[in-house]
Amino acid sequence: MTAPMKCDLAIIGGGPAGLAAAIEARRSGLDVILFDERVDLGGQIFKQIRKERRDPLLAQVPHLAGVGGRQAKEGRELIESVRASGTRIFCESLVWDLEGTSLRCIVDRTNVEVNAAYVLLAPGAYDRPTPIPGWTLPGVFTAGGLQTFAKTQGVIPGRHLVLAGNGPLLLAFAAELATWGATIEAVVEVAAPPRAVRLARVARSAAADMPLLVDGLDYIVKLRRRGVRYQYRTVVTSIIGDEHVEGVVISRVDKFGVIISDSTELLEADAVCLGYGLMPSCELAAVAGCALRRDPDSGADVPVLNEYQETDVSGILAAGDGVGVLGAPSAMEQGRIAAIRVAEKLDRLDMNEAARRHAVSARRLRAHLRFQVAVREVYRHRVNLVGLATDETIICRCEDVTLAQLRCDATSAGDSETNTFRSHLRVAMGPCQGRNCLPTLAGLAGQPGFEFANLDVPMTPRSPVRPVRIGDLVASGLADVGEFDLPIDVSTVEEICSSERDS
Amino acid sequence: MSRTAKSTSKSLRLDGWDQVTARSYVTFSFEGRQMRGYVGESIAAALIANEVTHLRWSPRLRSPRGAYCGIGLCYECEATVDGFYSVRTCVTPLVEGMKVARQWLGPQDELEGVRPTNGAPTRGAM
Amino acid sequence: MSNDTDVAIVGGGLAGVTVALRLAERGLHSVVLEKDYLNRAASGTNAGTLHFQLRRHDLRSPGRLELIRYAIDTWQALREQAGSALGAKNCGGLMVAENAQEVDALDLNLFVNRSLGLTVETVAGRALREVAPSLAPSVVSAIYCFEEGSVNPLAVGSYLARRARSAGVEIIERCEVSAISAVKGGFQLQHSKGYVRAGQLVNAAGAWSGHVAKLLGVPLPVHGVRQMVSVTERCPTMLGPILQHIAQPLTLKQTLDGTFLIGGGWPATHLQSGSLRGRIASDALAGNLDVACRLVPALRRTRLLRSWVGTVAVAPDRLPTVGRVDEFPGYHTLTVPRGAAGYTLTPYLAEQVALSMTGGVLPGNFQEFSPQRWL
Repeated sequence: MTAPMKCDLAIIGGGPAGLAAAIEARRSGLDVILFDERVDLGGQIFKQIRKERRDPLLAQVPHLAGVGGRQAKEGRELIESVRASGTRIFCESLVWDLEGTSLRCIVDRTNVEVNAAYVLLAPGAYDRPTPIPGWTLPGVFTAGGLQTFAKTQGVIPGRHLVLAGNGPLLLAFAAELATWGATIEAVVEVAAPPRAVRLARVARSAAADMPLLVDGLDYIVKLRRRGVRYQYRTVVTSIIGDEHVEGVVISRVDKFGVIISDSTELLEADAVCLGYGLMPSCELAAVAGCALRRDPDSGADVPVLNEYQETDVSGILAAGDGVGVLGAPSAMEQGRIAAIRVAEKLDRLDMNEAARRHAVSARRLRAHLRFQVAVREVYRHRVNLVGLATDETIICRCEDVTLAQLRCDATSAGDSETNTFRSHLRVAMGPCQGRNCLPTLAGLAGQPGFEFANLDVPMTPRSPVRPVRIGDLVASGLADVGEFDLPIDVSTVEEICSSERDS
Repeated sequence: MSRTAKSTSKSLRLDGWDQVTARSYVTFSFEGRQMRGYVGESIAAALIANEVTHLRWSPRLRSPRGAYCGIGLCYECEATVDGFYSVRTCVTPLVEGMKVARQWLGPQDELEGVRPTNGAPTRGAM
Repeated sequence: MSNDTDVAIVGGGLAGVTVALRLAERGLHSVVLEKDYLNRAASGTNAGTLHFQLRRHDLRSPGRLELIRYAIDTWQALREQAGSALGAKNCGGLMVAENAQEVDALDLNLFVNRSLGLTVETVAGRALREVAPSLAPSVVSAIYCFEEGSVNPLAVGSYLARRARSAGVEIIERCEVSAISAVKGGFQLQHSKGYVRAGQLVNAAGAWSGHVAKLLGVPLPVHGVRQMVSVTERCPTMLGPILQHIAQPLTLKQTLDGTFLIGGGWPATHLQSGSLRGRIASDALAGNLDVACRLVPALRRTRLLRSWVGTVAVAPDRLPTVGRVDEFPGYHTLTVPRGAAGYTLTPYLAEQVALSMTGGVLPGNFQEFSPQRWL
């Protein structure tokens, strides 16, 4: 059994918020440990290609040198600063529980307890689920998923891609894919074409974020140049196929977000990317008992924070997309603000200097927020995405629970709330732990059949916040077990597999 | 559009990626079919590059599933690898000789009571 | 919402809803008052084990042991009526031993189990491996009990609630009782959504039954403690019978969904800050999982998905409290604390209580469980 680790500040998440916080905390000489579950730091936005691939890439294959683009480069610099800063870094580590400022995580197949003076939660966000008919077919990916395959694995999972979603990330990714030679049938954006007024607001607020704005224009140019169909006010209403994506049905929407009935079109497709927004990851904050509020933009229950990024639980702070999806520059400032606060509270940073640094970061944060708000205005839409699900649409992917089943349960006798759907139908009882169904459930509030269901109640937060192998948790330890543990009776498995082939 | 036959059209790999990986191929099998991938890439990526996206069946409705989130959060990409069930193929690196198979972890039927062989009575109505 | 009823029942778990259903079958109308949503406490958070054979710390009180045979019959009848709605799995139960001392303890238990009318035998060696191939080599012997098995407490709760409602039972959720007084003709209960007058009253409030008894002014030394249960991801079929250990706290089973439920009465704790909401105690979790994967090594590579906290009743003598008190003839208690196999015994006990409220009497051996003993 390993002895517990101690530190001044434990940072959970190696994306922009966590990285910026680590650098700031190290300025004051704090003992910092940074945990991330991925192989590389950078989180989602600063996706990195493994070093052994990246250097030959840049040297020999110029047209792929931009893989990851400017953001990957910026991320790389940030990561290198953190590595040089004296932060103790644990990648491939999974934090599964938080109690006060004591966290538990799996590092190297071992359960480790970390007793920190302060904890900064910066776990980022994940792709919002988009339950439409056919969304569970092989070949359908989240925006993050398709990006991961393309940028870190070098695979584009289709020859007729349709990218659908909302917001500038969709545009950016489409442009990158097009540059790398992917065949894109269409890029469908649900929002209306940007109005001049809104674009002007973006430009005015964009002084700090000019590079992002320039990128945006660049993307549209790239798509146009390659003749990629890019249309606004269009939404994917269903995905067709037997064992794999074969086609996509798109429809136009009017200015009220209502589908225009004779605008339906079937596109040939063999891969679909759905990117209709991001959900903050707040499971650790919830399990630690932090007070939560419903974030109106994402519909997620995010921790209530003060201006120093502190939650209402003493010693726990939170920053980045995990508290509200506001992009990397905002995340970094929030991370800095949190680290400044912790350094001050630990008497490692003079009060006045802390106030000065806080003021600088807060001002920058406000500027980034203004930009984000302006960008969000450009892409605002009124389509009720949850309303696209039909009775047969699977809402809980893990447990195959359809909308019809949910509605039947909501309208049967007895009071109904999020957790009763769980206990009656197994919703959110699968390995994704509700990530791909609970946002939809929250969005069903007020919809026909769900008028009396109390969907404001969150699922009762419990640990582990991520699935953990039992062998990694037990005291008896498994020192000699490698990546794969004891096999179960292989013949049973083969029986299961072969009986399926025959049926 | 059938995906069962290996396509002769454009590869699904980024143009030039093989230069990046220095041509370090490995062979593995999927449901008995021999395939090739790069060492260290994810099993899911290797399968996709070999035109395979259907990795398992869902428990209750037995609907075909494959990789969705790409980062190990959704557990849709699980397959049986070397006899070990529920391996997340999108975050597990490919190794030479791996045997990958689709899996279905459906509901168990109410099992017949297993009778100890020393003659205890079989299960009744309960 | 009724303000008048034949019977008011406080508590919407297995006890309260089953009593209500049985009363309805005998022509009495009842209102069930549940302070949370139905089936949220012990009845909805346990691991669903039907404990028939003697467990390691089971009280060998003759009165309690006699209940077992009836409990088996009651569950059997319930299952026949419900079909697959209970999520019942009936592959027997194994009580395992890992060393000579534990094997001796098993031998003693075998005698008692047989006298209770259970179909039990000792299995070891190859026979044991055939019954449960996934058991570790360290398990040397076990008692196999043919009658044991498990149900899905969530499915059971839903099924009984549905039947109760169809039978005319009125169930009011999110309704906490704040005052109880004896009035002419019965009782009056004040609750958060109004009030109800009833000719008879049943205290089926589980971990809160002590608190409810106090509202009426009747001593009942029952309070609640938190326990934890864990569930894994789905697995291929690996374990048929339910597993228990003769010397260590453990229940381990693979459900019909293929998930493993791991329990055994390990304690949970609560948040130190703010809400006092229950939470997992990590040492207890490690201990619980440790025993489980020592017995079934294949569990080591299975993923834990969720550990939750349930609140169970605790009584000083670890016996059920069932029946009337002299002071209030129309007031009935039905509480089964930790250590008395509450989930297993409750359907039978509830039936007896309903019988005793509609012209019958409780069986003689129930004297040991009388609420009068606390006065």
